[in-house]
Order: sequence, then structure tokens, then C-alpha cells
Amino acid sequence: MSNIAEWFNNSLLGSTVISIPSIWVDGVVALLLLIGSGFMLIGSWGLVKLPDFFTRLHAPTKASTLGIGAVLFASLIWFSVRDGGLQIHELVISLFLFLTAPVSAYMMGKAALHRQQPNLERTRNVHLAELAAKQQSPAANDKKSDKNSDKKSAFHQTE
Amino acid sequence: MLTWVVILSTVLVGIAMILCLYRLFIGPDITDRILALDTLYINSIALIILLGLYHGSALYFEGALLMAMLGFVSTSALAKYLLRGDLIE
Repeated sequence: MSNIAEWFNNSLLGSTVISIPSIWVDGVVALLLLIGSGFMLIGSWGLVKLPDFFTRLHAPTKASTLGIGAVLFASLIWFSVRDGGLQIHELVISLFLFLTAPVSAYMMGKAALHRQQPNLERTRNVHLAELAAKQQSPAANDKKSDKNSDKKSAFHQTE
Repeated sequence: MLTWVVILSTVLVGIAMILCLYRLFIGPDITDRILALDTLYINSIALIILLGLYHGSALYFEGALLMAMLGFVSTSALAKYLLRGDLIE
């Protein structure tokens, strides 16, 4: 078994340079890596399995974000212990992903509402979907209303 | 032990990327395909972090950060294009 592992490490993947700082750090990093990759697998499986776009939107945006948070946290712990001092590169990446995942999920959901994707039979409050698809930004509503007469309507007329 | 755990995690993330590719091919509408691309770039960030952990090199973070920013920009650009029919109005 060790022979096969040695062959696998040397021939296929190149020499490994992972050095073990301590057994506890090793265990914590391994646990976080397994949790993270498991959650990413669950998120992608839900992307394949779920029946509807609006339910499908839930799986990657929650589970995959949690999974990549765990993987990045494992990498942060390992490099911080190896090099000494706090390495904040991964923290920057995970903060960026945690900020941008809801924004991109909202934009994809709005695009799907606009394209009138079919949703499940048991979806609640379906009659609100048409209203939400037509909803515009506040600036567009200001252009339509007659209250702002001066600049915007003049600009609108010249258009 | 950690070497084998990193390899196992890489395999799990690879299976997740294959599932995303399946959804990218069969997706009934274009919004499903955009969602699959979004999940695919998040998975590839995890893959590149695992590669950096495997080689013990801290040089991969800049690539991962760049991929995160470009992935968000491309996802929001595609969604905006679907929503408005134009990118820069």
C-alpha cells in the first residue's frame, strides 16, 4: 500500500511538499477541508437535482458559499501556522465571495423573473411574480411620474 | 494524512464541477446556464486553493482573488444583459 502511495505521489503528482506543523493543526485543517468539499459537492448536486430554477438557485448560493468558506478557512489556518503570523489573503477572498454571492443570486433571480421561468405548482404567492418582474428601479419610476418636471422631463423630451 | 485529505477534497470538488458541467449542458434556459457557470467558477476557486495547499505555495491566492472578481463581474454582466437587453445604456 505504501509502495502504491509512493508511486502515486512521485510519478503522477510530483513531489509533495506538505510538511506537518503539528498533529492538531493537521486534523483541524483536514476536517475543515472535508466539510468544505462535501458542502460544495452537495451544492452542485442540488444544482443538478432540484426541479425548478428558483429552487435550484438556493443550492449553489448557500451550500457552495459555505463550502468555499470552510476551504479558505482551512487554508488560512494552515498557512498561518506554517509561516507564523496571520495570513489574510484567504480572508479577503472569502469576504469578497460572501459579499458578492447574494448580489449575483439576486441578479440571476431577477433575470429569471423577467424571462418568466416556469415555477413549481406548489410555489406560494405566484401572483406576485408578475408584479416583481415588471418592477423597475426608482430612477425609472421618477422619470415616469409628472412630479419632477424641470430637468428630467426636458431631458426625456429631447430623447 | 493531510496529503491524502487534499487529494480526496480535490476529487470531491472535481465531481462537483462535473455535475455543474452537466447542468451547463442540459440547462433548460439560459439562466440555468448562468447559474451553472457561477457555481463552476466558485468550485474552481476552491480547486486552485487546494492546489496551493498541496504544493505548499502561497502564490495561488492572487489568482484565486482575480478569478473571484472576474467571475462576479461576468455573472452580473450576463444577468444584466438578460434583464435589460443591453450592458451600457
